[in-house]
Amino acid sequence: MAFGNLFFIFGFLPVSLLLYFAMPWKLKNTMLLLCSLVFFAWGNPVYLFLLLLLVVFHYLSGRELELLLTQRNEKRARLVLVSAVAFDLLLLCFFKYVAGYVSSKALPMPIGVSYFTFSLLSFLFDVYRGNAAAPHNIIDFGLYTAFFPKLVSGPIVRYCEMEAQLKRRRVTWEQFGRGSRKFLVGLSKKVLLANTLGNTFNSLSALPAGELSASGAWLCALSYSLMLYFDFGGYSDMAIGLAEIFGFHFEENFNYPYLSGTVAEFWRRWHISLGTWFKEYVYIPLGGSRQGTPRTALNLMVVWLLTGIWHGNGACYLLWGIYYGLLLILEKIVLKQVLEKLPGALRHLLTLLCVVVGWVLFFSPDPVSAFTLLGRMFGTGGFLDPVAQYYWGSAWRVLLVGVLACLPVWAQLGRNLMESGRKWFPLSLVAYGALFLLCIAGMMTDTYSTFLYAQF
Amino acid sequence: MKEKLILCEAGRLAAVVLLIVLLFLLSGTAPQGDIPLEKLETLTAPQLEEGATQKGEGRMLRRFYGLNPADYKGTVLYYPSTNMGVEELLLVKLEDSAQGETVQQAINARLAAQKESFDGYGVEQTAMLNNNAVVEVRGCYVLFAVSENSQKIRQNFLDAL
Repeated sequence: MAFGNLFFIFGFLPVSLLLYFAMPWKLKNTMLLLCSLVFFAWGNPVYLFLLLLLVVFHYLSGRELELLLTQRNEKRARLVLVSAVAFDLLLLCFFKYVAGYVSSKALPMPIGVSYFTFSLLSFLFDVYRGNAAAPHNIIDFGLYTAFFPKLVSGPIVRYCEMEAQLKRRRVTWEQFGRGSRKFLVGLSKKVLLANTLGNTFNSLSALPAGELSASGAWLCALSYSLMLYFDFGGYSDMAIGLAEIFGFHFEENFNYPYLSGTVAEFWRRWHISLGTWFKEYVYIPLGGSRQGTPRTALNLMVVWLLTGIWHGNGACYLLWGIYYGLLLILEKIVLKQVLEKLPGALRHLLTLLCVVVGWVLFFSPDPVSAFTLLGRMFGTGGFLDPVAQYYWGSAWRVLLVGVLACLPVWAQLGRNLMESGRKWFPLSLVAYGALFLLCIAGMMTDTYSTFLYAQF
Repeated sequence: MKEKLILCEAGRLAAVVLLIVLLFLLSGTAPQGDIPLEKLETLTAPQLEEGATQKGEGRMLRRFYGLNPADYKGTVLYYPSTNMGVEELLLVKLEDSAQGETVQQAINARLAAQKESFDGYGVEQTAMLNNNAVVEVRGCYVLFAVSENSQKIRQNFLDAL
């Protein structure tokens, strides 16, 4: 079940809300956990047992860690932590990289396995470091693991961020309204922008990369860059909005990444929860940037290799991770002083260029296709051809809308309208209503399309 | 305190054992792993009426189903040779079974569009679409067939898995 599905919007969500708000406070988490389990089981019910066993395993690991740390038995606590982390990583690797290939039987990947495994790892680290207390209520902990808005594609909410909210949170009409608006904005990004841009990208990427001219190859790369942003950013908005409706507050997962002036800034604004996870649990424990230049470079490379591998076992993901590792080493260490002297607009353009090239590596099925397409982008096959002319003619409007939608002005405008009092309130209500109807129409007429990041 | 630690340790161990057993059981009930799509094609495509369909390339998959062939491990499409034909066969080998829902939705959309096209004037076509369309999703394999022999196609597909 995906958020952009009519059944989710008109069936699952209203029923869940009704049940949640009808429950007394003491039973709200139980009800939300049950709804989340139904959501999880919808695609492949057998994995429900896997999720429940993982909840029990981590709940007990957390309790054991807490008891051992109280006894100041550091050595055994470390052993418990290492064994639990190793088990999680083995399980994740098994599903992501082994089950579908080596086994004679094709074992499908449980939905959200990369996301809930990283959430569970953050729980272990947070309890071990003393950043959070081990849970004493398995229902609350189950909800942290399986909470349906963040289950399929994140955001990867760290346990220390959600711990207090599981015990106590306020659910107000204001929050409900704010969450609903956020959900609707996310849905619009997905249905109206990502899906439309996806049509252009799908058409162009289906052609052999060697047949594209430079303008066609650029259109393919640009439409993917925007599509991925609106697809994943839209999903994140929907997830954060849904959480808000149920009284939870999650940090933003995207912060206008295409406005970034450096590659490092881009990654502080894109998939923020994954970046924060790697920073908190890998980069800083490795020493971050405090142990000299060579070690900083090594740490950056390790983090980016792991980020690439996290996305999948294809050669292109590995290449993409190495590409960003090298880019960040160049930007932060080798060319730091040169880049700082460049005008802001030029730095911005360079960043966008690096990011678009990165997405080509990311979406290509293999390195040969990736380098062929990159070659075409940089002029190995002529500038314009009738195919590119046709697609530019039909896609330039949505591309322009996409570029404009990357700017923060629209969110500010929406906020101003909602906060402007009675005068503009009816107008904003009509605008949001129209947006909702457009999305529904889009969902009914368009071919069903899942979220891109759900595959990871 | 000591009893609690022993309980936690035993519980953790039991959870790990149960998880491993579960993975073994799941592996045992999962559909066959790597079956070449060509094998499924040879078992199903000959059941289509001769001349009623033609083999389509990736762009036809996009045109009729809105699916990007690059997203999947493999696809085979036979689509009607004439505008008045409805006989069709689609085989998809998924990268991951999570894609099954997307493909199934695309098939449903295609079937609904075909029914709408022939509604009111193509009595035989409508009957064929209503009575002889089969959709099967098994692990990483998807079948869609519209044919007089759709049940035979379905059976061959399932037997191969």
